[in-house]
Formats: sequence, C-alpha cells, structure tokens
Amino acid sequence: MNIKEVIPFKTSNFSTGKLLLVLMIAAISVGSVGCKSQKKLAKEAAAKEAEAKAIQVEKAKAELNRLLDPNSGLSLEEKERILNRVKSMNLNDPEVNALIRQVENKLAEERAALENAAGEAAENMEAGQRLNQYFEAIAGAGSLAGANRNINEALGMFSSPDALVLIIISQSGGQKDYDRPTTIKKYLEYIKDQKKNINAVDKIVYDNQGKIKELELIKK
Amino acid sequence: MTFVVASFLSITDMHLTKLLIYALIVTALPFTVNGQKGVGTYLGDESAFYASTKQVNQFFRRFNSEEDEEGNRIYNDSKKYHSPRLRRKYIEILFDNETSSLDKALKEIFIKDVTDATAPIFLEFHGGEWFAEVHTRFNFYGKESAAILFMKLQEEPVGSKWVIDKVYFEPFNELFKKKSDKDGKFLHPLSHELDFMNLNKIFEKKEDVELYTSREHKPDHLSLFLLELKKGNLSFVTIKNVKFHFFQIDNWYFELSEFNRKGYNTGWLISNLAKLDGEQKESYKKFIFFEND
Amino acid sequence: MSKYKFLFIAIFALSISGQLLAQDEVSPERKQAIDSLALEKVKDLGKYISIIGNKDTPFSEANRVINRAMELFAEGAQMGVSSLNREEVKYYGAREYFERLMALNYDRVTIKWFNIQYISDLERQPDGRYVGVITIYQRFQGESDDGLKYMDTTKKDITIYVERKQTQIGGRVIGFWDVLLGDIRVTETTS
Repeated sequence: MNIKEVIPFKTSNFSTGKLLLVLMIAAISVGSVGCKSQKKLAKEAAAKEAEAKAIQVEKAKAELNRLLDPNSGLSLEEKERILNRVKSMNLNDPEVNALIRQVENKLAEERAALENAAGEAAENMEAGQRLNQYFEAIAGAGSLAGANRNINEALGMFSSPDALVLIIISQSGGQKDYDRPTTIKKYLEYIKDQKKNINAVDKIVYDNQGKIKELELIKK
Repeated sequence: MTFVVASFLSITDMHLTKLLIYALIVTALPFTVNGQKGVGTYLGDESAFYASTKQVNQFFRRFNSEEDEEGNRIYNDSKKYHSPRLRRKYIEILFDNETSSLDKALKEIFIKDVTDATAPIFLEFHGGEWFAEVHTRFNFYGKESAAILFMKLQEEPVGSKWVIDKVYFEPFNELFKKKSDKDGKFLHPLSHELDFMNLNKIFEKKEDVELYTSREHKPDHLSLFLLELKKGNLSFVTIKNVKFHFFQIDNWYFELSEFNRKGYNTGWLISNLAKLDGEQKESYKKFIFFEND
Repeated sequence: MSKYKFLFIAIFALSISGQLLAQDEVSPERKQAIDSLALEKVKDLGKYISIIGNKDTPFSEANRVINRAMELFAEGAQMGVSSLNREEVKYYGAREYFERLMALNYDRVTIKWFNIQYISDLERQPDGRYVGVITIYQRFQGESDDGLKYMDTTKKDITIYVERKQTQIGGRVIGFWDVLLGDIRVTETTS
C-alpha cells in the first residue's frame, strides 16, 4: 500500500492550512477591529478549531479501527507506521487514546508471534541441519563405534529413542504418501546398516522440553 | 558397452532377431546405467538379462507393447503403447529359436495375424483361456512320484487368485484300467431281476472294479489326490518346472516355457505354436490334461 | 431361479467393480513411488545379507541385523532355491536362510548387483492387498582369507505385498503404504 494514499496525512495537511487561514484572519481583525469584536472573533476561531479537531478525531478513530480489523490486508510494518502517525497527532481524545492502547496491544502481539515464528524456523533449520549432518556422518562412518557414537549423540536431540519418524515417499494432489512409520532409533540404525542417507528432514515437532518428538523426512 | 560391441562383432551367424535384441539393448543401456543408484558395485555386461523375458508379466507386456526397451511400463498416452511396429519386433524375440522346432512360415502368419493394423489381438492377463502346467514331486506311500498340477487364474469379487483346476498323477493312472468289454467283466442285463445280488462278485476283485462303471466315468484325479493328502498318504516334495498353455487367441494355440541358458534367447518364450480351430482346441486341451482315451 | 440369476448378476457386477477399483486406486505416479519404495527394500535386504554374512560383524550386531531384515518380510516368507544342476526347488524360511548365512562364516561376503531390475504390474488379491514381483540379478561372492571363494549368479524373483494402511498418531490419521517382501524364488543362472 502506498503511504500517500493513506487519508489521515491529507486530512491533517488540510486542517493545518485551514487553521492557519483562521489565525491570519484573526490577526488582521485584532489590528483593525475593537475589543468587543476581538472576543467574538476569538470565540469563532475556537469553535472552528474544535470543529477541525473533531474531524481529526473521527478520522483517527476510523484509521485505528481499520488497524484492529483482522482483514485489513495491511502488513505489520504498515500498521505500525499508521499507528505512529496517529499517535504523533497528539489528539489527546479519550476514545482515540483507548483505541491506540488497543491497537498497540494487538500489534505487539502480532510482532511477538512473527518473531517467535521466525525464531522457530531458524531453530528448526538449525536442528534440521544438525540432524542431516548426523545422518551423513552415520552413513559415512568408518567404523561401527563411530557410527554408534553419532547415533547416541543424535538420539540426545529426541524426547525418546521411540520418537516417531515418518518418511514421505510421494506427494500428489495435496495427499502425502508415507512409508511404514518407524522410530528414530530404528531409522538411525537403518542409516548405519545401509550406509545410505536418502532422506532429508522436512518437518520437526518438539515436545514441551524442546526435544524432538516427531520427525518427518522426505526422499531427497 | 565396449564388451557388447566386441561380442557383437565376434558372432558370425547372427540371426536377425539377435540383431534386433542388440539394437534394443544398445539403445537402452546409456539410460539405465546412469539412471540407477543403489548399494554395492554394479557388474558389467548385463545385456543378456535385458534381452531375457524375465517374467510372464514381461511376456504379456512385450507381446502387447506395453513397456519400453528398458522394461519400464508405458501407458496409453505413449506412441509406443500397442504400436504394431514395435509389437512385430517384440513378438519376433518372444519365440524360442534354439530348441523348439517352430515352423518359420507359421510364426510369420501368427505375427501378422496378431499385429494386424485393423484388428490387432492382445493378450489379457485376466482374459482367461490360458493356464499353467506345474510339474511337481509328491511322496506317495513313501515313494516319490511326479504329479502335474493344472492351475488357472480365477476372478474373485476382489482381485483374482490361482486355483488348482486339475491334477494328473501317474500312480492313479496305473490304478485305473482302460475299460474293455472283451474280458467278460460286466453285470449281465437281467441282473436287476435278481436285485443285483451279483454285485458281491464284482466288489471281491478290487483291481477290476472300474470295469463295471459307466462309459462316461473317468477317475477324477484331483478328488483322489486331495483324499490321499487328507489321509496322510501323500505329501508335497518340490516343484520341478512350470509352463503355460495359451488358448486365448482365436484359432491359435501356443505354449510358453522358461529357458535358463546362455545368450539372448532366454526367459519365458513360445516353445510351441499351432493353428487350431475351436474343436481342435478342445481335443488338444484333452491331450494336455491326459484325458484322451 | 430368477433369485439365483439376480445373485449371479450381483456377484458378477461386484467382480467387475472390484477390478475397476483395482485399476483406479493406484495411479501410475503412485505406482512409481511404490515401485521405488519396494525396490529400495529389496536393496536394503541385499545390504543386510552382506552384513550378516561378514565374519567381521560381531555376533550381537549380526543378530540385530537379522531382526531388522526379518522386519522387511511378511509372515511365513520363504526362499525357494534351485541351482543349475538341481532343478528342484529347495525351501528355506527367511530366518533360517539368514542364520545359515551367518554360520557360513566367510571373511567377506559381497553381493553385487546387475544393473537391471524388472517390476511386474501390481495385481489385486482376494483379500484386497496388492501383489507384485520384482526380478533382480545378483552375484554372491563369499571369500575366505585363505583364498577360498564361492561365487554364483542368481535371478531373484521377489514377491512384494503392498497394502494401503492408516494409523492414528496423536489424533491425526496417517495414510501409508505398507510394503512387505514375501516368498523369494532364487534361480541360479549361467551368466
């Protein structure tokens, strides 16, 4: 979304100009008109200012409500930019302030979820890489002892030696076809015996302790 | 690859079909050698294994042109599928050219007949009219004897299965005599007036009892066989060999046998071919089942 | 009479639908995936045989591998072996075959593969499972340190049972192909 298309910006520009015009007229009046009319003028200006503020508040509320809409189609960054702009208007309206707090909370949640997901993906990638490295090391181990040592190390990443291992043999029409489910211990021994590493890590599921409880592999 | 070429040159009396197989193999090799990965070291020359018709299933597929030169299944979206040109090539290599004395002219008529562009004939696994002849050994009262089992593929509500259709067991054949009225062994036509009291005499001489049965009666080897098995007098020893008889193609009969030998003309091959009409087929079946009198 | 006729038609219709089902259920793409899965298991078996037959393999390790190899097989699977000079088929249970192999005590066992395999169509059996046969050629070579060598080339026709199964794992249903090896016909060849 193009920022220039966002309405509050235009609105605030417009109202600032209007306000300036009102003040200029007021200043001219102050110089030429008497005390009584000065008061009257000031009162009119205040009324106009209040009207302008009311318009701004309405627009701000509309924008903030848009940010609360789950189907706004805006990215988190765009939402944060809009929120900051509304806040910088310092409207100091109780309703707007309440909405701002609501939006702030919502965006903070979204931000946290995003960072969490990114962190998890990075963690997954790291665990996946480590596992793939173990697979490679076990398949290529020069000795039985070496293979067994790698198996024991790799098993440490899992909640138990019986952790589930699923192997995708083909995917078509959104349907996954698996080989017979096995366990991580059996799978690691399979790599050791067959000296071949034909599957790569596709998905990792962790338990509460952060150990792998389920592993999905896919044919390379 | 070089080995294939070298041996190719060293063979002097190359038959046309062998040439054909070579052509097939040479085109097939570069793909398959690169296309495979697996355990252990691969061995060199396997052209003979390519040429061999390794399964009866492959015999069907080659006959119908339902697989490519490498033995990969092809489907009806491929130009090669059921291609008359390819079928002529394939069927040519499906005959035993070494031991069975098949009539060359007859072979050509057969190939022409089944690959006819307007009315081609294909073999169907589930099409019936073909069966297996299985040569086995059984132990019968302590003595090993040959038994021939005739097996047919039976369609079921789900899938299919092979079933024993008939058995031929030589000891049973020896047990039952051919009937002849000459030796005076019969129940005279007025026996009924005496309430068949003369039956006692015929059952005294067990070895002749079948002479008193009807002309139509034929000993059913399969029932006897199962009876002896159940009574514990008969037990399975081993399989010796298997062949198949095909009556599926109109006006033709052929026999399929397995040839395990050196060279390229190996595996499941046609070992016998005959042009037979419906009636001739029936009497030939009787001959195969040892049912001829 | 008409009742029987109806029954006959019903059975006939059922048998047709059974066959149609058999053709419909496994698409060529899926069949290819099953074929390569089955072939992988056949190759795995070859590797297990080398480990079991090798004298360097510790006894406990060999026993573990026998158990793993047995997991490839369906219940009651047998090897039917014949040689060039003995046409009759000799039968061995799968476990018996492995145990004999372990007892042979070659210093080295190598299973070499010819670069060819033939995979039959998958046919439906009356129990709904699919069955196929994979044909491979192998050269078995057993060597002892004193130079004694045994070698043969065999054609192996290996039964493959394929069954679509489902299992519940943590509340979700996982569909998988259970591929098991069945009887193996071993024929010595001349090459």
